[in-house]
Amino acid sequence: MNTFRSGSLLLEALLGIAVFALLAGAVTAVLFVGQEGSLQSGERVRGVFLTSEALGAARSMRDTSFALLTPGQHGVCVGTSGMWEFCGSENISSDGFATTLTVQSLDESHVRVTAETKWQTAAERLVSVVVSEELTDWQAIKPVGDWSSVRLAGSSLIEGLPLFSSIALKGNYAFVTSGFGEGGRGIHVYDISGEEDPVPVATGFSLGVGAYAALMEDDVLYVATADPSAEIQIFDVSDPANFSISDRLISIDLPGEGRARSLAYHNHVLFVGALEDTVEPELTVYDVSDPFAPELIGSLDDTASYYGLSLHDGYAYVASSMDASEVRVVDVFDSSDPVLAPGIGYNLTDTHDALTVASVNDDLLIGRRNGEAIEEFVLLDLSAAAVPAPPPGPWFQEIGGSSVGLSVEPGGRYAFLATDNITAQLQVADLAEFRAGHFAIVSSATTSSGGGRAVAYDTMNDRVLLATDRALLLYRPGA
Amino acid sequence: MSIFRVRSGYIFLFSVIMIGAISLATLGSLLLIGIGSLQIGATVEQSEQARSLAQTCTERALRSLWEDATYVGNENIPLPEGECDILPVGGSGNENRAVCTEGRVGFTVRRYEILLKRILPSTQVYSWREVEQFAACTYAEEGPDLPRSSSFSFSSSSESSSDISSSSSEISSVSSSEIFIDCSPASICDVMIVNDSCMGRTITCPDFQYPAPDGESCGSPSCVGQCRQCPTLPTFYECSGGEHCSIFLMGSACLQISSYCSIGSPVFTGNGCGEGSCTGDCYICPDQGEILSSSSSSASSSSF
Repeated sequence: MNTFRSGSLLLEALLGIAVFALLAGAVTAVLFVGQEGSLQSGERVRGVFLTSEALGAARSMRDTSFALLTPGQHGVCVGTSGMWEFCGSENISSDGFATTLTVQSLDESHVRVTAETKWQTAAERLVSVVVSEELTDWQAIKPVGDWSSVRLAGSSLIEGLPLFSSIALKGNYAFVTSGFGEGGRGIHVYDISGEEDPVPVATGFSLGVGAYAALMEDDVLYVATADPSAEIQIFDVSDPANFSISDRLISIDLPGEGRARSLAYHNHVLFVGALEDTVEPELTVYDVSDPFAPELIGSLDDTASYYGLSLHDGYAYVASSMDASEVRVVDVFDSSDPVLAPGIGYNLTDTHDALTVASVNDDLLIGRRNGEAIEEFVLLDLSAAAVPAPPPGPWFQEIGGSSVGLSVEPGGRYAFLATDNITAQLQVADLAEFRAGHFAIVSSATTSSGGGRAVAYDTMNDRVLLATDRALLLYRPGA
Repeated sequence: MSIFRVRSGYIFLFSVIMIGAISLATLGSLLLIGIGSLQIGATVEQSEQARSLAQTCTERALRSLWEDATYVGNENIPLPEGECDILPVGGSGNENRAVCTEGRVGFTVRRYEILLKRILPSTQVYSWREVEQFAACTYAEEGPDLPRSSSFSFSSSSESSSDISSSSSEISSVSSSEIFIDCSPASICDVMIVNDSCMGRTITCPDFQYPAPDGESCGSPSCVGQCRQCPTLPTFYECSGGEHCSIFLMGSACLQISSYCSIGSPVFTGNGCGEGSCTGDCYICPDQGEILSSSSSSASSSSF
């Protein structure tokens, strides 16, 4: 009995030791597995960091100059100038992480950068992290020519007297509004893709009424017309070459009859300026997020005609007929509740109407009706307040005629004026010179096709379109 | 004596079993720690790739805008590593534009929101932030097929990251610690909580109707379930003294103003700088400090 018990105990002990050994072995193995997992994770995070750093270096180099991103496999390092630069074909850290940055050119302004970090694990296994992204040269500066001289590049003349009134650009097409009759068809479409004369297209189109203003937004054209019951007409212009009246999406009957004169747009909201009316509002605001169903969301009743509109930083700047305040400033932060901004606007010298307005940077530019005792081109400063409160400025420039149309180059260096000065229908102003108090007009052009009536600067191609009584003319910088 | 010996054997065996149980628990814990560590590494890598995808879409969008200011965005771009979306570009014309992009790898989502001061002649960035929700852009109603799955990745932080270099949102997957708010009238709720699960839905209800708790339809006023703050509409709050507001609502659009008011004189909706409380709706906007910090981070990792 005693022997049996002893053997049993020994067996139990052996069994227990065996189980313990198995468990201890398993625990030890898992301990190493867990530790290995943690180490691998740490190494991977470090690999990601190094990869990300290489991509950051590529972005930094691109910020300096896109040309620095030369195709090939590179290493990156901080140069003597303190900036990232390529050095060698890879970077190897002190703990054995090798990072490469491969630049692949996709086109002249577009590269794909791939950063890869490789390292060996404790088990001598080669592991890597690869992250790719694309970089583009979006920081490039759109070149602007020297407009201190202009040359006529092309023109298109219409028989009669269409009296063009405004220009809206869509890529290589220009939509030009006009009167109706005497050659005017309300809207004329031109192909301006060539380097020479604008080519009329969609010549069968007829609006049936005259039009005063046009505004292009994406594939939608908004037109202020003389139609007494359809002042605002909205067109789909996705196919400009085949533009027809069937492209009209809908029209808006503005309060009153045929009063719409100016248009402005911001993010699905359309602002319409109108002639003065004792009862009806002069500024109406429409939500056009659905161009098929514009919705009136706000209006402002004023005591002046709104000939021109320009939106800038939540305010609508109005070229108006108000004698005591030709420049009106409307607070449109809440577009459903437009109100005159505190201070109302700015009273220019004498009582000649402001006809057109444009804004760029901190500059507010106004074109006025011709007057012997006034200068027709005015620059106001907006840097200090939304409502102009000189000084600094204002600055005045004699034009020798009414400044009917105004367009500005987005960089704010040049402004282009359409005037009825018979010797200088197109005038180019250098705004830096203007601000410095110097003579602002740096060049001009004359045409025999009548007075200048509208002007548009084509940003993408650095050219200017001038619409006169009878022609559409294309100008480029340089002699 | 013999009884004592029998008891000794059992004590030994019992001890072995107890030690074994503890060892098993330790083993399991270590295993989980190891797996968790590996997952963290993989998630960090995935997150960086998602960020790179968002960067790719941003780069493409900015270049497209520079080439054509009428570029509207609203693109889904599949790439070898995943996919990214360019939301409809906010604003119009040459000034005050908003570009929002989203990169996705698996369930990991990273988002960039860029406000542009102007596009031409050279693009000027007003702010470049990584965000958890877009405030300056809205998803297109019929745009890219954006994911609204139950595992839609979302940061648990309620504050937007303002510093690109330090942003690390969107790594975490959906969890019960998300920030939820009650629906407000006319808001759009895209994710509803049903039985502790996120239900992906995109429903636009008219004013004063709410997505029903099951997310299936618009119902009357009791929004019983909680609805995640809608990413499709900007969030508004009332300004208080000392806050800077640089962006305002105009219609459905966000407008920036270029000048800041000083601390103590918040910008009012359209009324310039003044004292007191802001009665109008004021868009949640980065204050001046955040913007400056965002800009200053560019040297190390941003793209402007």
